[in-house]
Amino acid sequence: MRSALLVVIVAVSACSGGNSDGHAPSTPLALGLPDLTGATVDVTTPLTQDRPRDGSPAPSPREAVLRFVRAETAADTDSSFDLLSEADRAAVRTRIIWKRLHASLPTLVEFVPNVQQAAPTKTTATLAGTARFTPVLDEINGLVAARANIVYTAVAEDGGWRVAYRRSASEPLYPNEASATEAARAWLEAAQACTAPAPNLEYAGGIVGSVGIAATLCRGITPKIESPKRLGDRPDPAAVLAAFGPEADTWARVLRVSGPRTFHLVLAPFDDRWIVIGVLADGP
Amino acid sequence: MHVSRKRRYGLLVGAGAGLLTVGLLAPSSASSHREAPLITEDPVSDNTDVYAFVSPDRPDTVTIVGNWIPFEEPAGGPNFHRFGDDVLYEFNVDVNGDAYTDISYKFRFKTTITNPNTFLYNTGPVSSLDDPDLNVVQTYSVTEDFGGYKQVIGKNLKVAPANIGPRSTPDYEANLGSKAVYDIDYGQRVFAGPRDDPFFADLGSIFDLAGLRPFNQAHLVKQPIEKGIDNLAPYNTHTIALQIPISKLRLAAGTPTGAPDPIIGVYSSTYRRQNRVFKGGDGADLRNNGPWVQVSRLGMPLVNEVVVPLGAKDVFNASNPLDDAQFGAGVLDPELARLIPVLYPGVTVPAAPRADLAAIFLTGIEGLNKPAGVRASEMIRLNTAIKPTQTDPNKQNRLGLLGGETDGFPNGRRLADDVVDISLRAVAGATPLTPLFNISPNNLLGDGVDANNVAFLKRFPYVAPPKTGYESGK
Repeated sequence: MRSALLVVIVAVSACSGGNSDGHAPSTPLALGLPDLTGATVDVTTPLTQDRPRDGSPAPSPREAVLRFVRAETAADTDSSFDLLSEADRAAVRTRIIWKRLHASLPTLVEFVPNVQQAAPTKTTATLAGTARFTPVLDEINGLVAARANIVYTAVAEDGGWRVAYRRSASEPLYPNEASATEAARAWLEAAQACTAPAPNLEYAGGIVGSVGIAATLCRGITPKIESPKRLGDRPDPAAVLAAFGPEADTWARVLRVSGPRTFHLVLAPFDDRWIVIGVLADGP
Repeated sequence: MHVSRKRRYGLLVGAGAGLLTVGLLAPSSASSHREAPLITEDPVSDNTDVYAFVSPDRPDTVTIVGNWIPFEEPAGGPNFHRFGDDVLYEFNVDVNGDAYTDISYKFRFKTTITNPNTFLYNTGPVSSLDDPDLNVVQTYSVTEDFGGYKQVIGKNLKVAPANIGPRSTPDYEANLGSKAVYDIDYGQRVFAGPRDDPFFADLGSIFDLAGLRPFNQAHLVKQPIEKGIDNLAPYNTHTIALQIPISKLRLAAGTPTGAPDPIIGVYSSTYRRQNRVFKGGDGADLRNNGPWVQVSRLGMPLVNEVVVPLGAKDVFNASNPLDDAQFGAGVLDPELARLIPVLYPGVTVPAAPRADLAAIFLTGIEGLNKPAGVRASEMIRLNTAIKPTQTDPNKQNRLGLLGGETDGFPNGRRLADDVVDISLRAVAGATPLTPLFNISPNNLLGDGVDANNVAFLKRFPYVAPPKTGYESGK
């Protein structure tokens, strides 16, 4: 059979003219590459989970949370990994993954526990407080509010306490909504003056939606602005949701603007102020 | 902890998190055009090919090219193909072989409509990226995650528009394509836009029971001998290309002098939101909800297509290289290696387990592109210390390493590398790693398509300009 195949190959070679290396054989190389015929290789061993260092559980739930917070604010991810609950460590698996995850997690700057705290049980406790984070608004992770109320959960493990990170909860705190109207007005005044708005008035990564509509304000009448509404009240917020994520439906505010053209200005609560992130047409 | 009114902050916030904790793996053959069931329904997320090579004209840099949208018809207007505004695209680089991503580049796109009251893509000839006659403008941002430290290194960059035709996009490459190359942070260079699909293969024959037209008479089911047909020739794709100084890649190793090992691993990943909902049952109001979920993954060509069985292909697309051990058995004993002697009687291939294929597709080859202490995982492994043998990509030997060019596939992947023929011969054992099988006819196998149908550029992004819609079908 092999000889039959060789006959075919000769025929192919004869009919494949016009391409100098059309069916060139792969030639032996003098590269010192290893002969792996019959060799064995381990490519099926799964990743193993990292264990916490000895003595890592804290003596109390409060101490567990405060140690965890200290480690996080110091970017000491090795120490915060040691304080993660078993369930969290099983999900994360290794210290390197935990460290890498921090590029996608809010950066904790400060946590101040409340004076009043709920009573712990034998196996679970919470520690509530207010936190500051490095504010973020981008198209990968969306919005990270600068401030939030947080309730950390601690669980009893290994004779001490660790932090159940995934069972902890946060509630973002946004700047006063009334200031969204003022921010919108300042942005529109710049458009009316045919100038670029101040950098602190709009999203640095580029406004989404039908940006060109705002140019109709240039040297035009002073537009009327309606009070802020939730993004979901708009018929087609797809551009904003696609850029900043589905949670924009919760934090973004929309102001209807009536001028030479009617449109909607979308604002986000970034840091301690509101900034313009989108312009949406009024209707399809 | 992207905060909504009241929610738990989970570990799986953001793309990086999803990628790292949701783990499964797999390698791939029609490169990766429509390689798995789910992704075939989502072309803008379907990563067709990834390339990684030392730049032929800037040998102190590495170029990564990723293509999405398979079989992109150039005349597909008036809503011409574009990147997904609701998709997250990512390149991943492992600088030390441990299967963890050390550097990643995330790309997000957004579309703005200049005039929403017309159906036209353009309202006149488009002579520049800023031309007001271009009605549909797509821009993008590039976010770098360097060992866990994230920064936006490019924003408001313009995507090259569709190449419509001589009236709408005259002198396309000079006016638009070449202008969409941006120099960004740290000597890096980036491009995004439509391009000619650089992959070349006779898919029609290959997927007809592994047919190779030049060897039609040797197949179990004989057909007349023919030259191969490049089924990708009429189509475009959407390309993201990134050029990175090698010195920067070495910095990621965390030592002042750089990584002692110049070998990097490269793969791409693509994400969508977990849920897509038509709000209130209104087909015009599509909403995406939930965290990013990985829907496509690609490194080495043809692994997910050929090595991973149908039942696991979607699992591979959702997997992380850290968990590639689950696919290791398929690489050691691939189905195609068992089929070749059946479909081509007389051809014998090395017996399983195939340490040679594990080296090519999972670990790199000792002495060439295998990192010290490598963790087996499917990604393109490139030895950046090996300089390009050619400054013109069109003069590269299509057989890469098998053709004597150590800077070619499977050491990285260049645009001109004929990965179908190389992989086919590798599965048949026709490589220096299994010398007893590196003989005729094994080392002659091929699909009869030896090069792309149009020339590559000699400059970044190297991928050829897109075909015009006006000429499509001629």
